[in-house]
Amino acid sequence: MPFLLVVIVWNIKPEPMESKDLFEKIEAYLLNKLSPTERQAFEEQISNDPKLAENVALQRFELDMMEVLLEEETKTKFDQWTKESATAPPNKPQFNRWIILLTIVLIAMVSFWIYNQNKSDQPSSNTIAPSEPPTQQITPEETPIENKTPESNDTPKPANQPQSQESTKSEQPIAEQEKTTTADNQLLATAIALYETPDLLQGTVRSDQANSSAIQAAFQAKAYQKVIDLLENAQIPIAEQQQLAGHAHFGLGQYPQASQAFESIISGDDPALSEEVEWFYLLALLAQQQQDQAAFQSTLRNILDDPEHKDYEKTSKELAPYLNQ
Amino acid sequence: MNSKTYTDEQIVKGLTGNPRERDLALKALFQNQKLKAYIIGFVRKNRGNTQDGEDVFQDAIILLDRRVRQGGYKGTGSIDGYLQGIAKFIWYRKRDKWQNKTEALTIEHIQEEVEQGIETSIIAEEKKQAIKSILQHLGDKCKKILTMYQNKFSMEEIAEKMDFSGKDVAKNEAYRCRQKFRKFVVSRADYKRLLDL
Repeated sequence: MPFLLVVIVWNIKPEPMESKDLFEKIEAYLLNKLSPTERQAFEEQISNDPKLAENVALQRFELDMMEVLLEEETKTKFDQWTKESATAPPNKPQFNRWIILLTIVLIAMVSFWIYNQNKSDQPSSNTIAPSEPPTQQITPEETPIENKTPESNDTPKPANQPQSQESTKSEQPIAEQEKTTTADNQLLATAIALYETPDLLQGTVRSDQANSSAIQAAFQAKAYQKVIDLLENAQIPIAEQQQLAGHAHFGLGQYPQASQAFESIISGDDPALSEEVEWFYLLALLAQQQQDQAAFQSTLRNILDDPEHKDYEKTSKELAPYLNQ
Repeated sequence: MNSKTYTDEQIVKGLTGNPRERDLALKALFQNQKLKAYIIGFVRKNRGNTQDGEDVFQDAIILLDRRVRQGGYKGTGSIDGYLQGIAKFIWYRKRDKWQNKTEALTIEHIQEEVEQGIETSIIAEEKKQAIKSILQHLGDKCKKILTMYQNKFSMEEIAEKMDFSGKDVAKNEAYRCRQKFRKFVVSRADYKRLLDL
């Protein structure tokens, strides 16, 4: 009986330590350091020896334990590097971007000066008054297209501007109207410089064929007020109307109306169209010297967080410096 | 510094090199913003959020490091492509776990090399939790020695950092810590159950 007890106690004890040679052989096996022949032979040995198999399993468990330790240390390093980059000084490329923006502003100013020198028959009162701030609030006469009442067929105009001046102004392309820039309007200059009229109308205006060719012609001729007038009676989906109206308002320098039109698409239920206009929405907000900072920052962050966004690359390149960290 | 300025060969060499070289290689991978943005974008498109994407990015680097050190990366594709494949694998596993799918994982567009090898390098979560539990009993000294050992510090460096009298003492201490861990494992049936027998 006592002998039996000794045997039982012996078997309950932890496995005795294997020799150093065996330990190192198992280590080499687990770390793939044996030759194919040695490996095969050792695996055969393992399959025939349960105790050896258990030792191999235990040693593998030890190596997993050391991998877990290493993983924890690596994640600590990742946290440390993240904090370092968060407190790092601003990158030089942002300074270069400001140089480029200032250059664009200067070029715009020189172009406007040259244009004024060459202009012969246009009275100065027909151009946009430099004193008029570009950040116009929406007046009742300049409501976006979707708020127009059916009875109102007149072109909405600000009360303080004569009609003739408005129609003359409205038929001029944006490049001719908005060359008035000063250092204070560099954001506006940037927005204008970055804006490119999209090729919108291929396949967009379908349902109202009678009007679509007229809208297309007006858009291509940069007769944006006419585009807005034609959209009034066009039988096309609201979202497409808003898209066209947004670009027409931008072309007219009516940035609050432009951003409102784009924003109505973004808050709608067409994600594809929303993605089409988000870039232009940002430009319209930028042109208003970021009056609505929250909307600008939110939309900018949405695009920069989505590398699959169609305008991710140019947004990263051109507008990322405006992102508040 | 990002992995664009490191060749794939340099990354692999760094990860299998000394601690300083490992740090540089890991940092190069970690600071590759284009790669990070790709992985975060992938996760967001597949029902995750930005934080999920950042977690997957870090887990993928850790797994890549392990594969390279274990000789599992054969170099048939680029490091960036390999890392992207690992990240997708990790995310699909996580996503399918959340959705309680019992059928086989559907892994799309993942390199064959990643599919075949990566499972062997992943430490099961249950095992990981058991290890972390045992490590609490191991003590800080053992954890420090074994972390340095796994991080390719030489025994001389470990001896210097731990204030041992020489490299032989460091080697014995590392061996002793591992045996201490082993004793914990064999002492409990729930731990023994996790052995890959």
